[in-house]
Amino acid sequence: MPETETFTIVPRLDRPSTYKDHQYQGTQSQWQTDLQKSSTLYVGNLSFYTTEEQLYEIFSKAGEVKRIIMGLDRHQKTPCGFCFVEYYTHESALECMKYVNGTKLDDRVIRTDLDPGFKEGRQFGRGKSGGQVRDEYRQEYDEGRGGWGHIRAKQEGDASSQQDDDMADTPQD
Amino acid sequence: MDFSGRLGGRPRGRGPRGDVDEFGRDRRSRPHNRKPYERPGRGGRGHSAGIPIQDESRDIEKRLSSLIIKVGDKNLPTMQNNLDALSVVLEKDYVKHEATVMKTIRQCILELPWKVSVYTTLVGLLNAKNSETGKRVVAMMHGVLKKNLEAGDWASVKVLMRFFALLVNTNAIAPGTLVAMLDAFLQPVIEAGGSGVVVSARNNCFVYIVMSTLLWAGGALKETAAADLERISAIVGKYVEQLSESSKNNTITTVLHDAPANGTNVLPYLLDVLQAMASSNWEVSIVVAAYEPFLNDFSSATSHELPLLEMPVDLAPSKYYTPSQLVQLVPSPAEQAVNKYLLQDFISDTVMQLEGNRKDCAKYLMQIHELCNEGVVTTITSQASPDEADPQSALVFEYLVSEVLFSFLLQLPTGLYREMYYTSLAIELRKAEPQIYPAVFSTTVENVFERLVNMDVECLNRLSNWLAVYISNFGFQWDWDKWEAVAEDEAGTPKRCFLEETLLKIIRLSYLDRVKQLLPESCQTLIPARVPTQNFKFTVQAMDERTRAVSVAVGVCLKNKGTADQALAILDEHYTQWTDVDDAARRSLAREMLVEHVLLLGSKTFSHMLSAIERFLPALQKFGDTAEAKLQIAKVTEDFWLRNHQFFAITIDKLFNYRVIDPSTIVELVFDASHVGKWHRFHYWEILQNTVNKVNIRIAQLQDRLEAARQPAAGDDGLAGDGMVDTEAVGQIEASLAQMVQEQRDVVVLAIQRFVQLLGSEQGTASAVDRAWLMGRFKEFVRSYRYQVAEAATTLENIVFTPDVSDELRQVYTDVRAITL
Repeated sequence: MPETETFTIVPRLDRPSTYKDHQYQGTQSQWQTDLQKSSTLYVGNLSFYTTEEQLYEIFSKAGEVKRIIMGLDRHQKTPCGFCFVEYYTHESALECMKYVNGTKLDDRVIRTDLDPGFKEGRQFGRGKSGGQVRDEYRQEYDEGRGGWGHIRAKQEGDASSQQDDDMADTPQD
Repeated sequence: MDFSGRLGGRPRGRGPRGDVDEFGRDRRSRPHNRKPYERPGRGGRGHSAGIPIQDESRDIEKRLSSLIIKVGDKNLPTMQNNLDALSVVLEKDYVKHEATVMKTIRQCILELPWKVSVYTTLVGLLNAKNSETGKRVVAMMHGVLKKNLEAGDWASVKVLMRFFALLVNTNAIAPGTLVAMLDAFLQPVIEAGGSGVVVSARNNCFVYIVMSTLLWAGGALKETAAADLERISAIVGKYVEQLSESSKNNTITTVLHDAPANGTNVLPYLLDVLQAMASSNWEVSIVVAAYEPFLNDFSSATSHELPLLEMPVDLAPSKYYTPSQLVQLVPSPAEQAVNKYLLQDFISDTVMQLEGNRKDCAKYLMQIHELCNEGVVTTITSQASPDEADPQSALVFEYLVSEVLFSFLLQLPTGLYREMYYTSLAIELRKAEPQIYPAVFSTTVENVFERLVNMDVECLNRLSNWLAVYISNFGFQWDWDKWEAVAEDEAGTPKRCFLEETLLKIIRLSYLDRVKQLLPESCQTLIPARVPTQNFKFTVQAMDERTRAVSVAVGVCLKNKGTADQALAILDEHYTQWTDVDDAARRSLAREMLVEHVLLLGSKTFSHMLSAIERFLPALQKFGDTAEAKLQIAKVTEDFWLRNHQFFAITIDKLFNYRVIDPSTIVELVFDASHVGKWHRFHYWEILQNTVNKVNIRIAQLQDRLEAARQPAAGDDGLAGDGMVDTEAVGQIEASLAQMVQEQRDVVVLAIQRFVQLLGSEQGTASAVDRAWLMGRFKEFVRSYRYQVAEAATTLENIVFTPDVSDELRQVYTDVRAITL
């Protein structure tokens, strides 16, 4: 499409962002082509407690949902804060980008990105501890996503056991 | 409410933060911040000083773009100079940066519709300075108009026609050229060979565009083409008269039945506005007439001829815009009706043109009033306290926005965009003005709430959906106390039902305990007491010995990952021993037993449910061998998910996907006699609509596949193939498509048949309120699927709307047919 066709003053929200699956096998241009007909979205920043049913409720506001694949902790097989939503049509995926992306579910801002489509294996977290990578390094406390990030949690844990040791060392009356 | 944050900080609603300094003063008015082109006097003098020549061409283009986009954002005394200076810069750089200038002007006209007066003036100035440039810009815009006409993008067509209307003031086109454009729209409206007009859905759209253009064209045409103005006004007047006559009692698209009849259709209302404007000499006083200071420059400008416009010929009826009313939800001063209409027209256009980005749309919406003339409109943001903005004595901008937003949400026969657009747009407005919009929206919703009893049922449902998502985006905060008296209302009354269903939606978006905590004690009766879990039939207490034996055996089999065949064998083994019941009854018992257990197996989440159904699909399909059997499966599902409507709806949907049940099964389920007295529940209609929509999706998919299959085959490399069309594949797809289309027609006809039967009999409804709900849903159904209804017209007239059906019901059908003709 010539550039003059797509130029708008107000950038449209149904265009692909910088999101990319790091384990995607194809080239960048293939990725772009895939997105142009995709009816699947990657959904991030979910609470671990958000259920499939809640996701259905909000995502069906943009069109008929074909299926939802919950992102799971690789080891525990529990939800770890992301999912894939597949619609019947590409248009629904675009409407979702326009209207649902950035709204709140369970008091959290949900983030959606066009995705080339779900493949078996992608439902699992890729972080060292089994969850998402972002939860390995997260420095902030996030109650909806299991508290501290894994590395930080470890430090906190060390600190508190250190504290326990200190307490143990304190002579008791 | 706390407004302290607003008093101390920057004045809100005055555009992006960058435009004001730390003291809230306008940055542009401070000398050291002036842009080069803002220097007083004409001149490109600023050009060399402000933009170093060595700058990358791309940077210049970026800057040019941004200058065009920002010029005339506010009604300031500097606007005249800015416009003039910008036209000088553009004229000078035009050849070098033609593409950028052209596309920016084009998009400004399309995307910033309320600034139309600014951009027509700019184009007029370019034309006055260099008629060759003017010619190119005008020709480009005409091309854009043509393209949008072909595509049926009526919102853009309307915005572009307004641009051409104002362009007459700059002499870039002659009044006669505009008249010819308007005539092109009216040509299909005028009866062939006669002087009468033809009323139709398509012509409503054309007349609406012409009338909307006249609002802005009157001023330019009254001097130079008064006769044409009168002639065109007469035609649209005649059209509206005829339309009003033919749709006099047609209330099928009425949102609020307590509103004055004139408010139902926008065209008669618009005619009143036009007549009021004509009587005040076509004066438009809401926005600055940016072209006025330049009338001298324009007087010698060249006018450009434009090729004749052609109306689209092969657009589907559904592609035409259905003019619909702005619902009056907030009181406003009657003498401001014209200004209110014009302002809300700008707001509507902006909502439509910026639909691709709700965040920026919200941002720009709040800027529209900045271009207004003083005294036309006030804003809550500019008041010391929100109570000082009284919508009854002056136009209050935020309320105008809110009214437009809700009018869009409640638009009939169908909304232009998904409901979710208006929800997320409201969320953005509130995020941008957290001190203002919560009160504005809650006032608007409360005003509608008081009128719910007179509101169309579909609209009531939409408002409920809107409110649930809106509230869930702001910590579920809502003033429930205000509505606590409703908890005393009888079940099924509109207000109570609205409240209950909204709360159920909120529970779906969160969870029961959360909602429980939010509600005052007085409202607790409006929500379920217990978590909406499954309702498994074969619990230990309520069973005889031998039923328990089957249930336990089947349960164990399923739990231990038994197969469909194993489950069937167990059922067979047990029930053959039940010699006291006949074959059919045994089969029915076995069916129920299996479905209950499969649903139990999948009751944890939707994924579990899906895999449970998939695993036992052969058994389910085997059991669902007749229409009655399918209905039984559907009813068992309803009973199992009695307390959880969402699971009920999704399970039914999946059973249909896997063809365990048919669309007709679902219609029979929805209209089951056991639902009499409960027609106010929302979920039955959610299920019915999902089903028809799903059938429609399948048809669309098959059509796509058919189109693809009809293309000559390409090779694997996508370049060369054998060039043959696989006729066998095409035939197969055609056959499935034909079957699906038949199924679509059947499901629409069957549903309407059931509506008519129930509404026509004493037993179909339990009370007057119950009947009102069912009637509302009947209207919703025929309205939503009016094009399918039109296609099945002969069948419907032959077998459903026969002479013995009551006038009331036949009227609904006639009214819906009338809006598609």
